[in-house]
Amino acid sequence: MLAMDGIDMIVIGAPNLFHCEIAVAAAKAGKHVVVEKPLCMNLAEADRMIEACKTAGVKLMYAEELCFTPKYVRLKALLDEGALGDPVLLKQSEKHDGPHADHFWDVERSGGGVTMDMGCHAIEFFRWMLGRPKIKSVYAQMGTHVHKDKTKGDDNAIIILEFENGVTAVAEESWTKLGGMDDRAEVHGTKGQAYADVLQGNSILTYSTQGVGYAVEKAGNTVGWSFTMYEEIWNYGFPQEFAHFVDCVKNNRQPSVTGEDGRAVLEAIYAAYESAGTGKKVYLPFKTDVDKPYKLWEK
Amino acid sequence: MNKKVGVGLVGSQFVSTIHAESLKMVPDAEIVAVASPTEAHAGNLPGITAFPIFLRMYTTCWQWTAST
Repeated sequence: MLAMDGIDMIVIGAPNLFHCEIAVAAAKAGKHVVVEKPLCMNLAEADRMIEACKTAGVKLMYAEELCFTPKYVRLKALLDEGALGDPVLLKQSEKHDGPHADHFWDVERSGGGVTMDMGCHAIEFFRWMLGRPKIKSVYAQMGTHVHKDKTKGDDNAIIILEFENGVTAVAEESWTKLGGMDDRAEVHGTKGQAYADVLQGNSILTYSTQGVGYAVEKAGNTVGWSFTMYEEIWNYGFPQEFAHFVDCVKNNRQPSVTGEDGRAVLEAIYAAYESAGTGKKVYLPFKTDVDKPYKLWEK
Repeated sequence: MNKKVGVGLVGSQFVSTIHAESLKMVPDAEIVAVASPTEAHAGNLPGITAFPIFLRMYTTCWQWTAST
Protein backbone atom coordinates (compact mmCIF):
# COMPACT_ATOMS: atom_id res chain seq x y z
CA MET A 1 0.00 0.00 0.00
CA LEU A 2 2.85 2.37 0.86
CA ALA A 3 4.14 2.01 -2.69
CA MET A 4 0.96 3.54 -4.13
CA ASP A 5 1.68 6.92 -5.74
CA GLY A 6 -1.87 8.08 -5.11
CA ILE A 7 -1.43 8.00 -1.34
CA ASP A 8 -0.25 11.23 0.28
CA MET A 9 -1.26 10.50 3.87
CA ILE A 10 -1.54 7.39 6.03
CA VAL A 11 -4.04 7.25 8.90
CA ILE A 12 -3.06 4.73 11.57
CA GLY A 13 -5.99 3.21 13.43
CA ALA A 14 -4.17 -0.05 14.23
CA PRO A 15 -3.53 -1.36 17.78
CA ASN A 16 -1.06 0.76 19.81
CA LEU A 17 1.65 -1.90 19.54
CA PHE A 18 1.99 -1.30 15.79
CA HIS A 19 1.82 2.50 15.67
CA CYS A 20 5.57 3.10 15.62
CA GLU A 21 6.48 0.47 13.06
CA ILE A 22 3.75 1.56 10.66
CA ALA A 23 4.48 5.27 11.12
CA VAL A 24 8.20 4.82 10.46
CA ALA A 25 7.50 2.71 7.37
CA ALA A 26 5.01 5.28 6.09
CA ALA A 27 7.50 8.12 6.65
CA LYS A 28 10.22 6.22 4.79
CA ALA A 29 7.79 5.83 1.91
CA GLY A 30 7.33 9.61 1.90
CA LYS A 31 3.77 9.61 3.23
CA HIS A 32 2.44 12.08 5.78
CA VAL A 33 1.30 10.32 8.95
CA VAL A 34 -1.78 10.70 11.15
CA VAL A 35 -1.56 8.57 14.30
CA GLU A 36 -4.61 7.83 16.40
CA LYS A 37 -4.05 8.34 20.13
CA PRO A 38 -2.05 7.26 22.11
CA LEU A 39 1.01 8.01 19.99
CA CYS A 40 2.79 4.69 20.64
CA MET A 41 4.01 2.39 23.43
CA ASN A 42 7.02 4.26 24.82
CA LEU A 43 9.20 7.35 24.46
CA ALA A 44 11.90 5.53 22.46
CA GLU A 45 9.25 4.68 19.87
CA ALA A 46 7.98 8.27 19.96
CA ASP A 47 11.49 9.54 19.25
CA ARG A 48 11.88 7.10 16.34
CA MET A 49 8.57 8.25 14.84
CA ILE A 50 9.39 11.94 15.22
CA GLU A 51 12.88 11.47 13.79
CA ALA A 52 11.69 9.33 10.85
CA CYS A 53 9.09 11.92 9.85
CA LYS A 54 11.59 14.77 10.24
CA THR A 55 14.19 12.97 8.12
CA ALA A 56 11.65 12.15 5.44
CA GLY A 57 10.22 15.68 5.46
CA VAL A 58 6.68 14.47 6.17
CA LYS A 59 4.20 15.67 8.79
CA LEU A 60 3.51 13.65 11.93
CA MET A 61 0.01 14.54 13.08
CA TYR A 62 -1.33 13.36 16.44
CA ALA A 63 -5.05 12.61 16.33
CA GLU A 64 -6.42 14.05 19.58
CA GLU A 65 -9.94 14.94 18.60
CA LEU A 66 -10.67 16.84 21.82
CA CYS A 67 -8.61 19.72 20.38
CA PHE A 68 -11.31 19.89 17.66
CA THR A 69 -14.44 19.07 19.71
CA PRO A 70 -16.71 22.04 18.97
CA LYS A 71 -17.85 22.52 22.56
CA TYR A 72 -14.30 22.37 23.86
CA VAL A 73 -13.06 24.73 21.12
CA ARG A 74 -15.67 27.24 22.36
CA LEU A 75 -14.63 26.55 25.97
CA LYS A 76 -10.99 27.32 25.09
CA ALA A 77 -12.12 30.52 23.34
CA LEU A 78 -13.83 31.63 26.59
CA LEU A 79 -10.61 31.07 28.51
CA ASP A 80 -8.47 32.71 25.81
CA GLU A 81 -10.62 35.87 25.65
CA GLY A 82 -10.23 36.31 29.43
CA ALA A 83 -13.87 35.69 30.29
CA LEU A 84 -12.85 33.27 33.03
CA GLY A 85 -9.79 35.17 34.24
CA ASP A 86 -6.62 33.18 34.84
CA PRO A 87 -7.06 29.41 34.95
CA VAL A 88 -6.79 27.82 38.38
CA LEU A 89 -8.21 24.33 38.01
CA LEU A 90 -9.14 22.22 34.97
CA LYS A 91 -11.10 18.99 34.99
CA GLN A 92 -11.76 16.57 32.17
CA SER A 93 -13.14 13.10 32.15
CA GLU A 94 -14.11 10.41 29.71
CA LYS A 95 -16.10 7.41 30.87
CA HIS A 96 -17.81 4.44 29.25
CA ASP A 97 -18.13 0.73 29.87
CA GLY A 98 -14.97 -0.34 28.06
CA PRO A 99 -13.46 -0.54 24.59
CA HIS A 100 -14.74 -2.49 21.59
CA ALA A 101 -11.76 -4.55 20.44
CA ASP A 102 -9.85 -7.15 22.44
CA HIS A 103 -6.46 -5.53 21.85
CA PHE A 104 -7.39 -2.67 24.19
CA TRP A 105 -7.84 -5.13 27.07
CA ASP A 106 -4.50 -6.84 26.39
CA VAL A 107 -1.85 -4.68 28.06
CA GLU A 108 0.87 -6.30 25.94
CA ARG A 109 -0.76 -4.77 22.84
CA SER A 110 -2.25 -1.61 24.40
CA GLY A 111 0.47 -0.72 26.93
CA GLY A 112 -2.01 -0.02 29.71
CA GLY A 113 -5.63 0.32 30.72
CA VAL A 114 -7.97 3.28 30.86
CA THR A 115 -5.16 5.75 31.66
CA MET A 116 -3.42 4.81 28.41
CA ASP A 117 -6.66 4.64 26.40
CA MET A 118 -8.52 7.66 27.77
CA GLY A 119 -6.16 9.46 30.12
CA CYS A 120 -4.28 10.48 27.00
CA HIS A 121 -7.33 12.53 25.93
CA ALA A 122 -7.41 14.47 29.20
CA ILE A 123 -3.67 15.14 29.29
CA GLU A 124 -3.59 16.63 25.80
CA PHE A 125 -6.86 18.50 26.51
CA PHE A 126 -5.21 20.18 29.52
CA ARG A 127 -2.01 21.00 27.59
CA TRP A 128 -3.98 22.42 24.66
CA MET A 129 -6.39 24.40 26.87
CA LEU A 130 -3.49 26.05 28.72
CA GLY A 131 -1.34 26.80 25.64
CA ARG A 132 0.91 23.80 26.28
CA PRO A 133 2.94 24.75 29.34
CA LYS A 134 5.22 22.06 30.76
CA ILE A 135 3.79 19.49 33.14
CA LYS A 136 5.58 19.72 36.49
CA SER A 137 4.26 16.65 38.27
CA VAL A 138 1.77 13.80 38.02
CA TYR A 139 -0.06 11.91 40.76
CA ALA A 140 -2.39 9.02 39.97
CA GLN A 141 -4.62 6.50 41.70
CA MET A 142 -5.63 3.45 39.64
CA GLY A 143 -7.66 0.32 40.16
CA THR A 144 -9.14 -2.64 38.33
CA HIS A 145 -12.59 -2.89 39.83
CA VAL A 146 -14.96 -4.49 37.31
CA HIS A 147 -12.93 -6.05 34.49
CA LYS A 148 -10.37 -8.19 36.34
CA ASP A 149 -11.45 -11.16 34.20
CA LYS A 150 -10.63 -9.26 31.00
CA THR A 151 -7.55 -7.17 31.69
CA LYS A 152 -4.47 -6.59 33.81
CA GLY A 153 -4.89 -2.90 33.05
CA ASP A 154 -6.59 -0.22 35.14
CA ASP A 155 -10.32 0.26 34.54
CA ASN A 156 -10.63 3.38 36.72
CA ALA A 157 -8.14 6.15 37.29
CA ILE A 158 -7.81 9.59 38.86
CA ILE A 159 -4.86 11.59 37.55
CA ILE A 160 -3.75 14.95 38.99
CA LEU A 161 -1.38 17.07 36.94
CA GLU A 162 0.48 20.12 38.13
CA PHE A 163 1.59 22.54 35.42
CA GLU A 164 4.60 24.83 35.66
CA ASN A 165 2.24 27.85 35.53
CA GLY A 166 0.64 26.68 38.77
CA VAL A 167 -2.58 25.30 37.28
CA THR A 168 -3.86 22.00 38.67
CA ALA A 169 -5.70 19.59 36.38
CA VAL A 170 -7.74 16.58 37.42
CA ALA A 171 -8.64 13.75 35.05
CA GLU A 172 -11.19 11.06 35.86
CA GLU A 173 -11.18 8.07 33.55
CA SER A 174 -13.40 5.01 33.65
CA TRP A 175 -14.06 1.83 31.71
CA THR A 176 -16.88 0.89 34.09
CA LYS A 177 -19.49 3.61 33.48
CA LEU A 178 -22.68 2.06 32.09
CA GLY A 179 -25.25 3.67 29.81
CA GLY A 180 -23.09 5.28 27.11
CA MET A 181 -20.21 7.69 26.64
CA ASP A 182 -19.61 10.52 29.10
CA ASP A 183 -17.16 13.25 28.14
CA ARG A 184 -17.03 16.53 30.03
CA ALA A 185 -14.74 19.31 31.17
CA GLU A 186 -14.61 22.20 33.61
CA VAL A 187 -12.47 25.30 33.59
CA HIS A 188 -12.26 27.22 36.85
CA GLY A 189 -10.61 30.62 36.67
CA THR A 190 -10.03 33.68 38.83
CA LYS A 191 -12.94 35.54 37.17
CA GLY A 192 -15.38 32.75 36.40
CA GLN A 193 -15.92 29.12 35.54
CA ALA A 194 -17.38 27.11 32.69
CA TYR A 195 -18.78 23.60 32.43
CA ALA A 196 -18.88 21.77 29.09
CA ASP A 197 -20.55 18.41 28.62
CA VAL A 198 -19.94 17.02 25.13
CA LEU A 199 -22.91 14.64 25.11
CA GLN A 200 -25.60 16.35 27.20
CA GLY A 201 -27.33 19.25 25.52
CA ASN A 202 -26.46 17.71 22.15
CA SER A 203 -28.70 14.67 22.48
CA ILE A 204 -32.35 13.73 22.52
CA LEU A 205 -33.69 12.72 25.91
CA THR A 206 -35.39 9.44 25.03
CA TYR A 207 -37.61 6.95 26.83
CA SER A 208 -38.31 3.66 25.06
CA THR A 209 -39.78 0.36 26.25
CA GLN A 210 -38.28 -1.24 23.10
CA GLY A 211 -34.75 0.09 23.32
CA VAL A 212 -33.05 2.34 20.76
CA GLY A 213 -31.28 0.77 17.75
CA TYR A 214 -28.32 3.10 18.20
CA ALA A 215 -28.38 5.81 20.85
CA VAL A 216 -24.77 6.74 21.49
CA GLU A 217 -21.28 5.24 21.55
CA LYS A 218 -21.14 2.29 23.98
CA ALA A 219 -24.74 2.78 25.14
CA GLY A 220 -25.32 -0.88 26.00
CA ASN A 221 -28.92 -1.41 27.12
CA THR A 222 -31.18 1.43 25.95
CA VAL A 223 -34.51 0.19 27.32
CA GLY A 224 -35.92 3.00 29.46
CA TRP A 225 -34.20 6.37 29.49
CA SER A 226 -31.29 7.03 27.15
CA PHE A 227 -29.74 9.99 25.39
CA THR A 228 -29.81 9.63 21.64
CA MET A 229 -27.00 11.51 19.92
CA TYR A 230 -27.25 13.15 16.53
CA GLU A 231 -24.27 14.21 14.42
CA GLU A 232 -22.22 12.23 16.93
CA ILE A 233 -18.80 12.26 15.25
CA TRP A 234 -19.22 15.98 14.45
CA ASN A 235 -19.91 16.67 18.13
CA TYR A 236 -16.73 14.78 19.02
CA GLY A 237 -14.76 16.81 16.45
CA PHE A 238 -13.48 14.04 14.16
CA PRO A 239 -14.47 15.57 10.78
CA GLN A 240 -13.01 18.92 11.90
CA GLU A 241 -9.80 17.15 12.95
CA PHE A 242 -9.46 15.45 9.58
CA ALA A 243 -10.32 18.62 7.68
CA HIS A 244 -7.37 20.21 9.51
CA PHE A 245 -4.93 17.38 8.81
CA VAL A 246 -5.94 17.22 5.13
CA ASP A 247 -5.53 21.00 4.88
CA CYS A 248 -2.05 20.71 6.42
CA VAL A 249 -1.04 18.19 3.74
CA LYS A 250 -2.74 19.93 0.83
CA ASN A 251 -1.48 23.44 1.69
CA ASN A 252 1.72 22.52 3.54
CA ARG A 253 0.65 23.97 6.87
CA GLN A 254 1.94 23.11 10.33
CA PRO A 255 -0.48 20.77 12.16
CA SER A 256 -1.85 22.09 15.47
CA VAL A 257 -1.34 18.72 17.20
CA THR A 258 1.93 16.94 16.46
CA GLY A 259 4.05 13.93 17.35
CA GLU A 260 5.83 16.07 19.97
CA ASP A 261 2.47 16.63 21.69
CA GLY A 262 1.78 12.90 21.60
CA ARG A 263 5.22 12.31 23.12
CA ALA A 264 4.56 14.78 25.97
CA VAL A 265 1.26 13.03 26.68
CA LEU A 266 2.98 9.64 26.74
CA GLU A 267 5.60 10.88 29.20
CA ALA A 268 2.81 12.00 31.54
CA ILE A 269 1.10 8.61 31.13
CA TYR A 270 4.32 6.86 32.19
CA ALA A 271 4.57 9.21 35.18
CA ALA A 272 0.95 8.40 36.08
CA TYR A 273 1.62 4.64 36.12
CA GLU A 274 4.79 5.22 38.13
CA SER A 275 2.80 7.30 40.61
CA ALA A 276 0.03 4.70 40.90
CA GLY A 277 2.70 2.02 41.38
CA THR A 278 4.67 3.86 44.05
CA GLY A 279 1.95 5.93 45.70
CA LYS A 280 4.07 9.03 45.20
CA LYS A 281 3.85 12.23 43.18
CA VAL A 282 6.18 11.94 40.16
CA TYR A 283 8.10 14.91 38.79
CA LEU A 284 8.83 15.39 35.10
CA PRO A 285 10.91 14.86 33.06
CA PHE A 286 10.38 11.18 33.82
CA LYS A 287 12.66 8.55 32.34
CA THR A 288 12.38 4.79 32.54
CA ASP A 289 13.68 1.73 30.70
CA VAL A 290 10.27 0.05 30.89
CA ASP A 291 8.75 -0.54 27.44
CA LYS A 292 5.06 -0.45 28.40
CA PRO A 293 3.43 1.94 30.90
CA TYR A 294 1.39 -0.67 32.84
CA LYS A 295 4.61 -2.34 34.05
CA LEU A 296 5.33 0.62 36.33
CA TRP A 297 2.02 0.10 38.10
CA GLU A 298 2.28 -3.68 38.27
CA LYS A 299 5.78 -3.82 39.79
CA MET B 1 -1.11 20.41 -4.16
CA ASN B 2 -3.80 20.74 -6.80
CA LYS B 3 -5.36 17.31 -6.46
CA LYS B 4 -7.29 15.75 -3.59
CA VAL B 5 -5.19 14.38 -0.74
CA GLY B 6 -5.03 10.61 -1.22
CA VAL B 7 -5.46 8.74 2.04
CA GLY B 8 -4.53 5.20 3.03
CA LEU B 9 -6.22 3.89 6.16
CA VAL B 10 -4.43 1.38 8.36
CA GLY B 11 -6.99 -0.44 10.50
CA SER B 12 -10.62 -1.29 9.94
CA GLN B 13 -12.35 -1.50 13.29
CA PHE B 14 -14.04 1.09 15.51
CA VAL B 15 -11.81 4.13 15.13
CA SER B 16 -11.08 3.47 11.45
CA THR B 17 -14.82 3.59 10.82
CA ILE B 18 -14.78 7.07 12.36
CA HIS B 19 -11.73 7.99 10.24
CA ALA B 20 -13.53 6.85 7.07
CA GLU B 21 -16.79 8.63 7.97
CA SER B 22 -14.88 11.81 8.82
CA LEU B 23 -12.78 11.78 5.65
CA LYS B 24 -15.95 11.38 3.57
CA MET B 25 -16.95 14.80 4.91
CA VAL B 26 -13.67 16.43 3.84
CA PRO B 27 -14.01 17.56 0.19
CA ASP B 28 -10.21 17.72 -0.34
CA ALA B 29 -9.64 14.11 0.79
CA GLU B 30 -10.08 10.81 -0.97
CA ILE B 31 -9.57 7.39 0.61
CA VAL B 32 -7.70 5.30 -1.95
CA ALA B 33 -6.74 2.17 0.01
CA VAL B 34 -7.18 0.31 3.27
CA ALA B 35 -4.76 -1.99 5.08
CA SER B 36 -6.28 -4.44 7.52
CA PRO B 37 -5.65 -7.99 8.68
CA THR B 38 -9.42 -8.55 8.64
CA GLU B 39 -11.12 -8.36 5.25
CA ALA B 40 -14.64 -8.46 6.68
CA HIS B 41 -13.98 -5.38 8.78
CA ALA B 42 -12.25 -3.53 5.93
CA GLY B 43 -15.10 -4.31 3.55
CA ASN B 44 -17.58 -2.83 6.03
CA LEU B 45 -15.87 0.55 6.26
CA PRO B 46 -18.08 3.31 4.88
CA GLY B 47 -17.45 3.85 1.17
CA ILE B 48 -14.46 1.50 1.05
CA THR B 49 -15.51 -1.47 -1.07
CA ALA B 50 -14.37 0.06 -4.35
CA PHE B 51 -10.80 0.49 -3.09
CA PRO B 52 -7.92 -1.95 -2.82
CA ILE B 53 -7.82 -3.69 0.52
CA PHE B 54 -4.44 -4.92 1.68
CA LEU B 55 -4.65 -7.90 3.96
CA ARG B 56 -1.75 -9.08 6.06
CA MET B 57 -0.56 -8.87 9.62
CA TYR B 58 0.26 -5.29 10.53
CA THR B 59 3.92 -6.07 11.10
CA THR B 60 4.48 -6.72 7.41
CA CYS B 61 2.04 -4.17 6.07
CA TRP B 62 4.54 -2.28 3.95
CA GLN B 63 5.18 -5.43 1.93
CA TRP B 64 1.52 -5.99 1.22
CA THR B 65 0.07 -6.36 -2.21
CA ALA B 66 -3.52 -5.61 -3.03
CA SER B 67 -5.95 -8.48 -2.63
CA THR B 68 -8.66 -6.83 -4.67
